[in-house]
Amino acid sequence: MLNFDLTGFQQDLNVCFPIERMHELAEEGVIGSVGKFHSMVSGAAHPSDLEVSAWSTARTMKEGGVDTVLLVPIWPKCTWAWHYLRGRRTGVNAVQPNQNSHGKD
Amino acid sequence: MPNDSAFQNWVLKAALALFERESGPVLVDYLEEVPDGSNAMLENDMTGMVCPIDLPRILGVDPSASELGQACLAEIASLAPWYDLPVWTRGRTTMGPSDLDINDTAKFVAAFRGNQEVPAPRDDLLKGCVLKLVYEDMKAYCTEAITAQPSYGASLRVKNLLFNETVIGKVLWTLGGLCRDSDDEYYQHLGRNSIVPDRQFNFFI
Repeated sequence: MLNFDLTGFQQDLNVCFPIERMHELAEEGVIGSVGKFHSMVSGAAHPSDLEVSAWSTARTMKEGGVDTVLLVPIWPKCTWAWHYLRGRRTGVNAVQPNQNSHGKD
Repeated sequence: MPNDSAFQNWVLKAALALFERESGPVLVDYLEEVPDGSNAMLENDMTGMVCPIDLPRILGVDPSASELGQACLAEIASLAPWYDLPVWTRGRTTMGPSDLDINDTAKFVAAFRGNQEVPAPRDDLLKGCVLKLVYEDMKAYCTEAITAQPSYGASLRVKNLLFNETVIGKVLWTLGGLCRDSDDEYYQHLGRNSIVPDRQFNFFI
């Protein structure tokens, strides 16, 4: 269970999962399209323990034609696994906007 | 920032623009501040527009478990319309991991406060784990009800109301103290790290 402030994404799912914003960017032509599958990574483990799952997720994305992932940090450790994979040359580009994603707490 | 699509859009475009750099990784600071919600309507602006939450009177310094439980149930009932509204409009809720009715969560916490040996309402998890799910559901119920009101968008304002002006908040404060003083290491961990945010300890400073 989550140990951080939920009030931001209780009000607006886009705070942690900006799916509506991404579809808008696709309609604007800023990005080509939005992937069919989206993944969540829990940070409650060392990144090396998540490697098998992370590789599987990256494989699914590559098979779906994904060339770029957007990492949305709910809590810093949540993106450990992806940072780990970025260093392992998965072929997936990654960008991480780091706004105060769960409100002003 | 919730419900600010323009700011969310700006953040995403700024992040995607980093791909235009010829080399990486890059780490960029932006001078823009996260909106603080000050454009949201203030309570004085909404006179006659919404019904304020009618919270029960907060009990004294050390009410009995049964008194606190009854007050908590009364508050849960008074918040019900405010909780139901965003669930209906948003189509989702973060309350529910305990798999218990919200009234049963309050009854368990009140009983636990009076006697830590009270059996947990679920037998498939250790009592400490049930306790965590239960008070997280109580927090979720209350914060979702509070954020249904137009003037309560900013996180800190929601938390200040929850932990300082509600019976549920008083329950959480007392539960946190009880856990911190417990001989059980897991309860101590919950009391120190999970029940009341650190920021609330400095609320009156």
